[in-house]
Amino acid sequence: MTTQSKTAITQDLILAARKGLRPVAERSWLGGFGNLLSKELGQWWGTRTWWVQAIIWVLLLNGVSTIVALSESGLAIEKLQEVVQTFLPMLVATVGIGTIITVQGAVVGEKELGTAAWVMSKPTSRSAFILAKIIAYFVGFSICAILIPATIFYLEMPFLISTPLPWMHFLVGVSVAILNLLFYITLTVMLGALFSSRGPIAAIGIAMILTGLLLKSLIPLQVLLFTPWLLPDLSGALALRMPLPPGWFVPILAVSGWIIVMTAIALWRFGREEF
Amino acid sequence: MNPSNGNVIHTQGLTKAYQGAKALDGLNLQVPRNSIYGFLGPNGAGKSTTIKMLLGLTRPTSGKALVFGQDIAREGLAVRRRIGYLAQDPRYYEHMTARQTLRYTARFFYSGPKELIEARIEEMLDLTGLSNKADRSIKGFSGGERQRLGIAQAQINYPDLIILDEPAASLDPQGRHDVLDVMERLRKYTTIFYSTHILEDVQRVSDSVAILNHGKLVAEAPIEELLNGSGSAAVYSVTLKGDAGQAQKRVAGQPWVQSLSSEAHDGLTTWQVGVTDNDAAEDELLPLILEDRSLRLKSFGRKTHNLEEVFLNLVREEPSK
Repeated sequence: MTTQSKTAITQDLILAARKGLRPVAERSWLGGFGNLLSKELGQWWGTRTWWVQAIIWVLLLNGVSTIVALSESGLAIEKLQEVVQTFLPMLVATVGIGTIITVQGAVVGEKELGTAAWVMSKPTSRSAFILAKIIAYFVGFSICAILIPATIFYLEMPFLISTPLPWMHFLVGVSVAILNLLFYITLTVMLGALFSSRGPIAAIGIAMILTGLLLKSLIPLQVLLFTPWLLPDLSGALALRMPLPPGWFVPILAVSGWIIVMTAIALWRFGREEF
Repeated sequence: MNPSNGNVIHTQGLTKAYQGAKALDGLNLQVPRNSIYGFLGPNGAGKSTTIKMLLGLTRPTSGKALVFGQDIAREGLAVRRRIGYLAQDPRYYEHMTARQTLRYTARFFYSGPKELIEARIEEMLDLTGLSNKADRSIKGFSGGERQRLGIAQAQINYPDLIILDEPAASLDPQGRHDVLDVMERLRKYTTIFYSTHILEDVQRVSDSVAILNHGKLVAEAPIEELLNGSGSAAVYSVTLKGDAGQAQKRVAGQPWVQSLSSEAHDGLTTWQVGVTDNDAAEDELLPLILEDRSLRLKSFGRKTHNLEEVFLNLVREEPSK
């Protein structure tokens, strides 16, 4: 360390410099949010994360849907239904699993490493920390794991199937997948705020998805309506303008409600965290 | 009226208990503005717990902490705008470089202009000797380099209070010397509150010291007062040549003399005179001795201790509860 710094500090210089710098003006409950979000988004878009994620999801989702499209025979409309019913439900389910695996360390990892304590020693709020995580992962996954594969899927279909896929309805189906993504991000962040190790987070999150995939038929409809487990089927049905049962919108409203509740729990719990 | 009374840190009965066990027990602390305040104590004494509460990282079980007269529990964000903090084991994002870490830190405080922020970052890199490693990933940093980065990030916002938790613990002797040097230079701009177990450093740079043991404050005083013996009690050391028998009786008979031990060596007699009233001792002790014209005074002075003696005495006196 330079004991006699080249830049000799005088009080006047310090005061002058301080006057020149613009203090951050953010509401106290969201203090530091802009900086935290910028850093979180930077970890997606400023590194290779985004294109690695995009390649993985494109290879997985578009690869499988292309194979299905090429192997299907029969009427074009049936072929289209089969491919869309494969792509969107698979998108909903696999992105959920991918989200849990990727996001499980977002909060716990920072608690374990001590970086959360360091960040919290700055003028930043705990709410800002949690919200920045949710938003950054939501933006990153929405684009890399849903929008890029969905766009490729939509542009690819005319070359494989002669029946057109109405873009408005397809977009509605994709929106359901995005809602499902947000559900699993908030679930994982909430678990990260509640627990202090990754084990329970991954276990609960994966169990949640597997229950929906494997045991859905055993669960009464009145219960299913209030879970995210109907969203895979709903996304495909909405994209294909298929007839929908009464109350089809209940899972959408319920999952939206769960997202709000889980975000509130994450904010409350992390607000009480002791570092 | 503000209870902090001009002190930068003011705690009242600050207590932290974990599952019933008190890590900190009713801490009352006053840290004056522009002081270098050493916070001492053996491992597990509650130093880091106190620091975490001052930063709002941990909530007190009872009592309160005011920093700049503001309650940390209610106005934590406003308080932290004026604080720079270096943790005992500083952790940063490993993928970032030192420059990126400082930029990230600076943006919690300042939104611009970019050139001034970058200039400040450059200044801090220079101050901590990290200029040539500024664009290297932190992953490869040694403990000492991380500590320097910690000191840089703690100062980036021109803090009015710097809180350092064991700032020199992982540094080599040169690094330690440099850290103390930086602390001394910053004294006129800011208040420094730091915990350490390196007593030699405390004695060198601190104005005031608090000693914590088993979660309780066992001493808080300006360093001179602590080394000279606190309050009105003191020990005087007197070396005489000649027969000191009569003088010893006279001195020992004074109501303000608590103890008098005598030791003869090489034709000299050395007394250790413990007194309860320092003012009386200063006025009367020497005249009482010199009443005896046959005695020759070889040395006289108030006995000073080194901090290690004081620290060990205080810590040993306070058994674990």
